[in-house]
Formats: sequence, C-alpha cells, structure tokens
Amino acid sequence: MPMRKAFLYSALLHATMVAAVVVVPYFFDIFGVDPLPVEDKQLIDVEIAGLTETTERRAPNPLPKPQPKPEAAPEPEPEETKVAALPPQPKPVDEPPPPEPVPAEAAVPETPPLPALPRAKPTPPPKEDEFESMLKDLAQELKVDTPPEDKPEPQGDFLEDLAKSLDTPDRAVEPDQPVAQMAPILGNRLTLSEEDALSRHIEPCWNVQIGARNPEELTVDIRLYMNRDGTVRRAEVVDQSKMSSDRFYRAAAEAAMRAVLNRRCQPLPIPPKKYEQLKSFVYRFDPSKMVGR
Amino acid sequence: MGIGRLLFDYLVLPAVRVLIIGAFALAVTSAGARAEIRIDVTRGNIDPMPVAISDFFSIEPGTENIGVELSAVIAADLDRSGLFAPIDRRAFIQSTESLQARPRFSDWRVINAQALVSGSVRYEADGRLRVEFRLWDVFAEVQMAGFAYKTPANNWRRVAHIIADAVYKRITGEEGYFDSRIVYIAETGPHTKRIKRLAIMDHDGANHKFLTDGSALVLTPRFSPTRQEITYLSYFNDTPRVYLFDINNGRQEMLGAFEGMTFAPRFSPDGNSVIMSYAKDGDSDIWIMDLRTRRARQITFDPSIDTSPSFSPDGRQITFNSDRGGTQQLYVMNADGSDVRRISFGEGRYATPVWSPRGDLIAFTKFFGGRFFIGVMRPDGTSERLLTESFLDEAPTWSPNGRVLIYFRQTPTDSSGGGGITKLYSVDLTGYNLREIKTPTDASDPAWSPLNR
Repeated sequence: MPMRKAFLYSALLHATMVAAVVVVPYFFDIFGVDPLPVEDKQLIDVEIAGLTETTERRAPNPLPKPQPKPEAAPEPEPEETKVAALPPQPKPVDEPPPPEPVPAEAAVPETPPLPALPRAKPTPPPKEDEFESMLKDLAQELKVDTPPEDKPEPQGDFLEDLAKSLDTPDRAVEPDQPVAQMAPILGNRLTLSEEDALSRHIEPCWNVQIGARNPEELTVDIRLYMNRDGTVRRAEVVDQSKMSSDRFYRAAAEAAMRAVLNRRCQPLPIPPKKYEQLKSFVYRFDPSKMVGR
Repeated sequence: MGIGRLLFDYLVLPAVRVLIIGAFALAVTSAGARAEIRIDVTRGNIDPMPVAISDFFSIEPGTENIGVELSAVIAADLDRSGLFAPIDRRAFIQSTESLQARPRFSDWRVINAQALVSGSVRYEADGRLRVEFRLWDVFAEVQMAGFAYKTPANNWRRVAHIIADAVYKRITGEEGYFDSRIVYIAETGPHTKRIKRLAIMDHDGANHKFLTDGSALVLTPRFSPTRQEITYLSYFNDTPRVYLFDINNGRQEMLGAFEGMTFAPRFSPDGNSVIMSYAKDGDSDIWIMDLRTRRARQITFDPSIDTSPSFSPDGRQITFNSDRGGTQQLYVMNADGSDVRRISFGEGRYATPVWSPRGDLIAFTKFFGGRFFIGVMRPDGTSERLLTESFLDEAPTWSPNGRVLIYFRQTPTDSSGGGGITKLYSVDLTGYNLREIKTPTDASDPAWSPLNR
C-alpha cells in the first residue's frame, strides 16, 4: 500500500512537472499571442469616427511585407461597425421640422459685423435651412467607403524598393547579432564624451511630442545596426509587442524611428576604433524629462 | 522514505536546479546586455513635425478646386495644432498625379518632409463626393493609414477636418479635435450697453452663426457631450437663470423653477444631467438636475459660496470653487458631495475649474497680484503650471482630446472708453502655441464641443 501510494504520488508529481514544463509555456504562449488580436481590434475600434482603414502598417520595422497588407482581413469589419454606428444620429437631426420662429432668425439679419457671410442679408430661413442641412450632413451623410483597392501598392519602383529593403536585413543578420559581441574589453568602452556625442547628435532629429499623457511610459529603445561609415544600415523598435498593443507607444516609437532614419543626422559620430562595439547598439529615447516644462 | 523525501526529490531539487540554470542564464544575458551599448537620449527638439500635404488629385474634371481646398483646410488644421509644420507646396517635387501611383520618397525626403498626405477626389454616380487619402511615413517608406469617405459635395470641409484628425491621431496616438465646433458669447456695442449673443462656429471659424438675437443677456454656454444642445445662463426679468438651447431647432427652455438665481451650468459626462449653482439668501450651493425627470438635488450644503462645478470625465467626481476657507479656492469632491478636499494652495484666488476630458488635469483661472492666469494642475492639486498671463484671462475650455485650451482675454479699458477688447485665444497645455481665434465680433466665454458625430 505504501508502495502504491508512493507510486501514485510519484505519478502525480511527474504529471505536475510535465504539466509545468509543457503547459506553462503554452500558457505564456497564449499570453504572448493573445494581445495581438486584441490590439488589432483596439486599433480598429479606436479609428471609428467613420473611418475605414485601408492599410495599417503591421510590421513596424522597415521591412515592407506588402502582400499581406492589402488583403488584411479585418478591414471589412470596421466598415460595418462604422456604418452601423452612424444611423442612430440622423434621427434627431432629421426630425427638426421647418425652422421655427426662433430668435436666432430675427437676429441674423441685424448682424453688421459679418460682412464675410454672403448669406447674412437674405431672409433668415434659408440660412437656418442651410444650417440644418449641414447638421444633417454631419450626422448622416458622411458615409465610409470601401477601402480603395484600386491602387495596390506594388507599382513602379516599388519592386526596387522591396528588393532594396529585403536586401538590407540579409546583410545585417549574420554578423550583427548583439550576442555576437559579448564581452568587449574594458579599454574599448565608449568614453563619456563619445556617448554624449552620440546622444547629442541625434537630438535635433528627434521630434518629441511634449504634452503627451504618461510620458514616463513612452521611453523607446531602438536597436541600430550600423555601417562602418556611421550610416544606419537598419533600425528596429526593441519592444515590438508594446508597439502593437499601445497606440501611444507606437506613436512614440515611430517618432524615435524617424529620428534614427533621418539622414540629416547621419553619419553618426562613431569612432573608427570603436566600430566593433557600436556595430549594433541601442538608443534609448526618454521623453519624460521634457514634458510640460 | 516518505512524503518528505518525495517532496524533496520532486519539488525542491528541481526548483534548485531551475534556480541554478536560471541564475546562469541570467548571468549570460546580463553579460550580453552589458555588452550592448545603450545611449540615452533625453532631449529632443520640440519643433513642429514637417509634413507635406499634397493637393488632392482630381480624378475627373470639376473637382480640381475641391482637391486644392481640401488640402488647404487639412494643412491649416495641422498647422494650428502647433505639432505639425506643413511644408510650402511650392517646394514639392513630385506631381499630385504621379503621387497617385506611389510616392517617390526620396523626392519628399529632399524637402525634409517626415510624413506625406496624398489623396484624390471624384464624384460618385449618385453625385456625392468620394475623397480618399493616404498617410505615408517618408523615412520608413510605408503607408501609415488610408481611408476613403463619401459625402455630399457641400460637406467637403468636414471631410477635411476628419482627415486632419486621422493624421493627427495616427502620428501622435491621441484623438484629434479638428472635427468640432465652438460656441461663445459674441459681444457688440459700447461697454455701457453691451449686446451679448450666443454664437457657434466650426473650430476653425468657418460656418459662423448667431444663435440668439441679443435681446437677453447670455453667459457661460456649455456644450452637451451627447446631444446638439447647449446649456447657458440668460437673464430673464433681470434674474439669471439656466437655460437649455437645442441647436437643431433653436428652441430655448428654462431649467427648473428655482426661487432665486441659478448659474454656472455644465453637463454631466453622460449628458443626462446639468450641474449648476443655485443662490438664495446670500448662500450659493451646487445642485444637480436630472434632465429626464427634471428633478433637482442639492449636493453641497456649506454656508459659503460654492460655484463653477465641473465633472470628472468618469462622472465620479466634481471639481468646484468655494470661499469656505476664507478665499476663493478649488475643491474636489465625490459626485454625491462626500469627501470634499481643497486642491489649490498657491497664492492668489482660483476660479472656473474645468476637468480635462482626458482626466489627468484640471484647468482654472487664477487671480494674483492684479493679473489673471490660465493654468492647469493635477486633480490632487500637484504640478500646478501657469500657461498664460495678462490683464484679464478667463474661462478656459478644453479641446475634446484634452490637449488644447481656449479662453478669452480682455485688454484694459482706457479713460476715453477705448480698449476693453475681448478675444478668444487658444494655447497648448504645454504653454506653447498661443494663438488668437478670429471671430467676427468681440468674443468671450468660449465652450468647445465634443467631436462631431
């Protein structure tokens, strides 16, 4: 009996271990994967206001994968939600019967300081009508159209662009893994002034959105892969998942990307002897000290 | 052997192993992380972002003007925000027509555009206008957004505002505010016999219209967050009363039959109630009226003057000003009147608190040392910042996205009766980008609408 019991425990605990090893990763997988669809929806939801999204950039790094974009399935949904969302409004707007004798109408003709309005003098009613119809337009007539399919991206020099951009990462990939450059010798470290030079050099190209909400959450790390001459071969946002889940972060990350991709701030001041350490490095853009000064 | 041993074998040992492996992995990765150099950038430029807004390409004859005007309105909106700097179109290299195929990004980089707006316009078979636009990231060479709209031709301005909002939102992450309107008090006539009328216009000043005739004095209009309604103060038989105004049909209605004065009205965030001050026998308290039942309820009971109530966007709290502490200061309380706490402690007097639609700040008017200021502070009273200062700055109102404030500014009157000019101004909540908002007459008491729907 004790044997059996021991066996049982053993089996049970084994099972637990297996579960821990097998299930837990799945669990985290689920966590890792889940955000994406949710974010997508969020993005679409957020875009309401009668907007139809034709193409949203899915891949935030400059690796255009044009094929998936145009066909992106989620698009039809937003349209319908939006179109459905609009009708409720028109009702209140439509109802208003012919303009009533409101003070407003009496008021209109006697407005001397309104020379710019050509319809200031004519009888009040037409003006009211126009106003009505404007409101109607606002609420009801503005309809969202289907995504413009007629101008697919692949055209003209696009293929060249694609080839170019596909080309770049390839070169970048093998030698530049950050792991590859572990353990640099102490003497090869950047001096403070070299760090400062790198930091200062990019400042003019970084457009900071001051006044953004929760700036302390908008710190963005960008990993750069450099050419020997100090030009940027490739750049990527390190935290891709936040990029796709938080539209404020995405805006901040894109601003940081624009800074490092802006050729006006290249070449970066990379000391020739320090290229090995700076083949790939991270710029951390932190707007929190600039906000609301 | 027993359960203890088993537990040790199956729980403790593996745990220790995991710890060791984990520590090793950590050591490896942190060594890797230390190897990768990180440069901190904590300063950037706060110049507006250069954007190129191309004319919208006219796909068929007859829409050329609309295409040009669309892009002009979009550019003006973005420029006014202070966050974007539209590039002079005379610098553009690529034609609007060839842009329809695909931008030549190098052409736009040359003129320092960071983003590019392109678009087209044509008539549908049903006579409506079809406007299409795309937003491009010039450096990353990708499309950031693309939408198409159909609308009656005379509604093109609104489409332009909606496109500007879409660009603003995609690039900043925040909702835009261009597709919105402003009500204000239009003032004419001599200071001794001032005529004040309710007026409304698009946020950019277009489609201006007077809503009342000036026979009764009107003050402090506020937009409903949910309906085409305005609540405001009007004098009836020399007694100030809170009224409702229906923008759709011009109907006015007095709210409630109070004995005494009601003033400083404002809608609740759900649009179903109006919160206001009710003064009787020298005591002013805050009341709330349910617009569906027309029943009013008293919220504050202090013998002091409580006024200018404003809800937090979640409807749970109310900020107001009161002289219960001796001088006029700002307070916050729960929506049922409980837990009143003072939040302003700076020198001077504080008035007209308005809770930001984004929830993070309260804007106010401050009077100190003979000057007026518009400022913002957090709802707990910290981080007070003064944005503007003049002889008389008053009555801030928030843009729908909580980024921008509009208020009015009055110049001093001189001995000959001149001066005393009253105009609307806008300022970013960072204190940048102060601008006058053009109105046909003198203007005061502005109120920003929510985004149009």
